Amino acid sequence: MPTLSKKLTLLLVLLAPAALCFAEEIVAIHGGTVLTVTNGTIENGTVLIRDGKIAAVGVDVAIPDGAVIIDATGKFVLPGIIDSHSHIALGGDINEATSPTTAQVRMADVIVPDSYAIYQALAGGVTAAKLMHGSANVIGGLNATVKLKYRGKVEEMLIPSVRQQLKMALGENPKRLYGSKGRMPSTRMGIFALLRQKLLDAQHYKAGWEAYRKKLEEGKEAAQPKRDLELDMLVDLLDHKITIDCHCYVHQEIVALLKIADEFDLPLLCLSHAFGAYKVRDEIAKRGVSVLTHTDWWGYKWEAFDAIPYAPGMLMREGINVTICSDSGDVMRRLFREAAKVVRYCGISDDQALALITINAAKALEIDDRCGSLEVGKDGDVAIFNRHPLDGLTKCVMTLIEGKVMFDINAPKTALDR
Amino acid sequence: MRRKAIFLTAVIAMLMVSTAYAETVAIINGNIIVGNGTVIENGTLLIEDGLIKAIGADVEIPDGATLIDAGGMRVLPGFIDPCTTVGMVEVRAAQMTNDTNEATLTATPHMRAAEAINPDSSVIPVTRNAGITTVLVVPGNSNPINGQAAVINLCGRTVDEMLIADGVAQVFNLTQRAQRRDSYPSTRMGVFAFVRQTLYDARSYAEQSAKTASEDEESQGDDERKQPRKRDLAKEALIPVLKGDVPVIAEARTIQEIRAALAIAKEFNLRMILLNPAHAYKMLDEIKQSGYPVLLGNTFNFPSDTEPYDCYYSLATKIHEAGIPFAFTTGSAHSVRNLAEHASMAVTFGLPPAAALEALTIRPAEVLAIADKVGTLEVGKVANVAVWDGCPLQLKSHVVRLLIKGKDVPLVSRQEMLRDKFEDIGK
Repeated sequence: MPTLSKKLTLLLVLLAPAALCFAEEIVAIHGGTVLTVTNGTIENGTVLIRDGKIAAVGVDVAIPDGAVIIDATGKFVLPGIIDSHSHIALGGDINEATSPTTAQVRMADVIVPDSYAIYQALAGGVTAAKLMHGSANVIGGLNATVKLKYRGKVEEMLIPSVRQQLKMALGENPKRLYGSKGRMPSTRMGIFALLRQKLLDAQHYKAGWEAYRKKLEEGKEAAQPKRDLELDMLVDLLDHKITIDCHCYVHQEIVALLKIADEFDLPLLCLSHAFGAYKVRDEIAKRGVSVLTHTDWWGYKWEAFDAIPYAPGMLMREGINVTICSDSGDVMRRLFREAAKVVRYCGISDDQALALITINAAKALEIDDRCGSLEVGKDGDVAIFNRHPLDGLTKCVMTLIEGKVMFDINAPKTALDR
Repeated sequence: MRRKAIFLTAVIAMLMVSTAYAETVAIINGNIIVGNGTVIENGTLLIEDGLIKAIGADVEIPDGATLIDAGGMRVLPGFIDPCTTVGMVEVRAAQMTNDTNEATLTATPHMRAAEAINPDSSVIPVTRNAGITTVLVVPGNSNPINGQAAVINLCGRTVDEMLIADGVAQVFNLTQRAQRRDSYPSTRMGVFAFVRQTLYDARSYAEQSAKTASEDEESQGDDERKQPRKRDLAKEALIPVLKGDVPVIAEARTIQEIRAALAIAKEFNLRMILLNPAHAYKMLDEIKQSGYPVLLGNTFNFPSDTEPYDCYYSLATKIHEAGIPFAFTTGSAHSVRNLAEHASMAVTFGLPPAAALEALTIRPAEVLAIADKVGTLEVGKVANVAVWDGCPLQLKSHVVRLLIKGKDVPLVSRQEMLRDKFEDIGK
């Protein structure tokens, strides 16, 4: 058996390039200022995309015959923008707000690929996003990290073999929603007690299944434990097969969450919003958690009252991976403008500002092996701007995903145009 | 440490300013953008007792004047947001800190925003830091008829110190937001009928009041004194609107709502200002013919399925090209600081930069009938002046100096204080 499967694999490896050559599609984005984000800026450069992957980036790139040439003379070529926190294209199914913990629900099940909001985001240079459960529940659902392949198949949108992130939420939203119904949690104490209890339940459930499997291995009889979809999901979390993005605001809840993550060895990757993060940035930096935040939002609720636009810079200087995200179909269309404002408030460099919406977001979503910068081997996800993307008067003129043009300012569409 | 030093300097400056109001200030070496089309390179702006005394390249600076060297940077009129709730709300979701929207009644024309503005609101310094010196404060807009708006400068210990003018507009809302869930009016047609009925009631009240007043005059000297007529504040508040003394700011987004606003204005001979007319691009001729100006807060609206992706980015351009006077607005409190971003986006999608600048300065002043006081840097006007280190349409640009009524206002809000408080963490 092993020999046969090895032979099969070998055969496939040999055949695959041939198959690819047969359908080879080459796109050359030529003559623009290439903002690689990770390797500086290349004037009059070329980005060569072969079969959806970046094959070359540089000045002296030979353009093969038959390549589709996109003239970017006078324009700026940026890696596709990544929105690390979005709720678009979910058909309005954002919160399963009937219970404070609903880890069993999955956003991938409700993606609407022909949502016009996807096209709007593409027109703002966005090529990938994390489509998220809302913040009604302490434990929401499993988010979906996707490419914005407008009118494509959901299976094609989902980025393969990515660890998806479970949405959690602390603070005012679950407090208000459940407290107003006379249910726990109505306080932050209640939120953490609920979270800790659920994690203990998951540990117990996991142990039950492990004991069951062990008995079977030993050839003993055993009663199969009852499947519980929510606890299944939390076991995946305990096993680090999925990770956490937690909606949080004030610094005391951020610290309490970090401690729970330590206690249960949770893969806490992202803090969303996290307006109090600047006050405890040493604690966050120590644990390598990303902060997905906003430029200048504040005051819309009590837990956002201490939000300051200087925070992204303070966090970055602490070595924290920071992204600027939208949480809104509107802002998603203009993340590059939000990044420019971070330069105003925080005095960061242009490359650092562009990183907030590209490579940093890719790292936070664990897709930096294929997205977030213009590097050979990565996906051909590109946004082309008529001016520097941080210029206040810039606009996106073309967006490509894996070498395919998804938005072209010279041929804009409404949702009704096919 | 450096920031602390700046902050201390700012505090000292603030103390000094408050004791030396009547001083003369000269902003020198400015690239002065007057706001009336004139740009003065390397110019001087002379301010006396809070008013602009002189402006030009060869202005004589009196002895003892405080000098502010603009170092060649842009000197602009303070921006004006003609529809905000600044000072009315501290934390939007915390009801005890939110005095907008008296939504317990459907018509509240007797609400006066000026009586609820908190001059010490943390929103005010945040707003100022973005070069905004003047705002219209509305009492909210969740009712079909909401109340009276006040226009203020963003500096002062009391509302009276801040006020440019009170009762400058009555605020109507004809959109879905004004509809009630389970009571009248629960539809657009209901809202339109409700507003018309309320105006007819107010007109009849006004006529009755006038009649009673003249009868009282005739019966003067008679022994039999009549009981004074019972007064109705809500109806009284609409009399200046019916007389055309006070304009109506009417929020109307869709075609039906804009049509209704124009029709109601005609029926009652109102002066009107259209707020947030999203569908204006479908009826530019009608709006142009009405002669009513527009307050435009639609730049970042999300297009519907039938609208192109840049439908609202380019709305200001279409309104401008149609010759309809307009000003940008945020309709916000905490995000008023992003007012110039609306102009920036509009310029990106075709609006001439000069028109964009006007729509942040002189146009809102004209719409609010305060152009004799603010909106440009012309002699005799209030010295509301911002010094910018770059073009205000660029998102990276900062306001580096701000004067309101000639006072050098420190650019320190609660947000800079928090930044400084947590500056040295973990070091």
